[in-house]
Amino acid sequence: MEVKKENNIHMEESYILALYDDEEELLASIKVIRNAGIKIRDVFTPFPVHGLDKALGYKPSRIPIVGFISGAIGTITAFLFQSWVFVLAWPLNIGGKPFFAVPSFIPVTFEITVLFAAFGMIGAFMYKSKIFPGRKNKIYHERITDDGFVMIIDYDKFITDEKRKEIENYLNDGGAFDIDFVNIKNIE
Amino acid sequence: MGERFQYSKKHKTFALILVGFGIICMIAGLIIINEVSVRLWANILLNNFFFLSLALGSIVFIAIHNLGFSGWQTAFQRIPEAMSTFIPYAGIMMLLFTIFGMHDIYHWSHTEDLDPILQGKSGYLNIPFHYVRLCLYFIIWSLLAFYIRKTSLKMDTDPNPAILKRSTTFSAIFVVLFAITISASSWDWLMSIDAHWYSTIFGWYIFIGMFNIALAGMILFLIFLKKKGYYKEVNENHFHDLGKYLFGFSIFWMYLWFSQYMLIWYANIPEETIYFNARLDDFPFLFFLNLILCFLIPFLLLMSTGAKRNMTTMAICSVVVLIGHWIDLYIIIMPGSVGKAANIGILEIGITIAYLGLFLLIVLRNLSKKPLASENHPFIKESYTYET
Repeated sequence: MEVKKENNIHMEESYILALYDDEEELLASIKVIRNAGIKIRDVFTPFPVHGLDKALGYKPSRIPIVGFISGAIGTITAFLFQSWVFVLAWPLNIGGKPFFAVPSFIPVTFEITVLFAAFGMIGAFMYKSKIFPGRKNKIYHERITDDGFVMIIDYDKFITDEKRKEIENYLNDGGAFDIDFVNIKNIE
Repeated sequence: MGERFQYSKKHKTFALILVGFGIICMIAGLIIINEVSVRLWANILLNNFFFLSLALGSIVFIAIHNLGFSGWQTAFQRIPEAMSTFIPYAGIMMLLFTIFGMHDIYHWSHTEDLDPILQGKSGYLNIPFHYVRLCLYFIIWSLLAFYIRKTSLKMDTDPNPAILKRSTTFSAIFVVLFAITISASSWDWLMSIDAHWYSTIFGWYIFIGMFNIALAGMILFLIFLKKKGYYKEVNENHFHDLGKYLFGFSIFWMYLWFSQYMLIWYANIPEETIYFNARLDDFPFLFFLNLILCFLIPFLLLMSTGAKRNMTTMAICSVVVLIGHWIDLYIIIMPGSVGKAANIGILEIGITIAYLGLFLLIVLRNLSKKPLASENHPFIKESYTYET
């Protein structure tokens, strides 16, 4: 284990960071760069930008499917549980209503559906993006945590100068006001 | 100037045929049932309110978007604007209905034999005040709808973006007055059919139904015009948002329906449960069909993103929602007026078709008079490049 850890510490990853201060410029620039065949690793924005998923060519999220399934599980669980409690386990006469009183089950069923759907989606999201308490984040750039629109491109050290210039030109033309080359120690 | 809808002879003849066919069906229905008054007036009230909902819901749609400085709807805003021109016609019909049919539908209007409960309500439910309110509602709605539409049309000739501000002012006044008038008018025209019964959530419930009807109508008009080759800039992003509206408000409608139902069911007070008793005993099929059409089908069909962006599913859902809300109004109006004898026959269908023809006649003509989009609207670019 010790050896592996040491290996990891020495493993460094290099990136090109391009900073923008406008989401429209960023979107236009992403289209140009992707058309040129350059792979974008990630984009960070201070607020959700409409159309960014499509510009980056991401597949539609599958979170809604998880939401539907976990919601449906919630509906069934809540309804069956209440039916079991109020009909079989502990029948109580409440205001002369029948034991199996469907209308009175509906608010609870609804709430449990929402709860299950929400927890299911959050759980699935955290699992897929490997977010968990105590995780150490890679901070590519200080501005990511504040107000910066940052595009990250994988940078290979053995890249030719020509290729590097080309990428830089694309970024500058797209309106990037700052371009950084950074090495980040891969902690994981 | 932008493109215009070509209101051809074909459209006009089609609408006129609908009106003619509807009236023939209506007369045939009247001959068959051989009893003029109650059923005829109940159906006129139903359809008048249904098509008034289409018109009034659209002006609400415009008003809330004006107030929110929203831009995405500007590409097709002329459709709800044109739909809102039906309000004065519905007003005239409502006035005629009240003059001739009032005593058949509203038993509180027989002032000579009022029971103690209705005597207690006679401060509000009396004939002169009923007329005053009716005129007031339609004057308020027609005038504000007219001015909201007028300011929007003014942008075609005057590129000054400050006009939007005027429109916002009218919208603000409209929204406040509408909140009061819609509750009061739903008590007057629908809830007072069962004059002994009352429900405090009724106004909301009717309003959400109204908004759903207008959304569905708007979507169908938009799809019709898009299929004809107009509105090239309106794309699936706009449909996505309209779909979200239809989906969300269908759920909200169900929420209000259930809020009303559950409190009455739980409290189990005879004077309140009589409302659902009459409906569940005499119209069990329509009662549950209403819930399926207004909530379950749009809920399940429109849940996914793809369905909201697809014109076919949206059209199917809109038609389903329109039929569902027609049945909803039927369930509200018929048990208290016609009673057990009510059913959906040639008379009901005839009057609905006649109203549909009249509505299309007025709306399509008004739609064709002006450009289909206001090119000078400050947010029109935002709408054309809109992405959800």
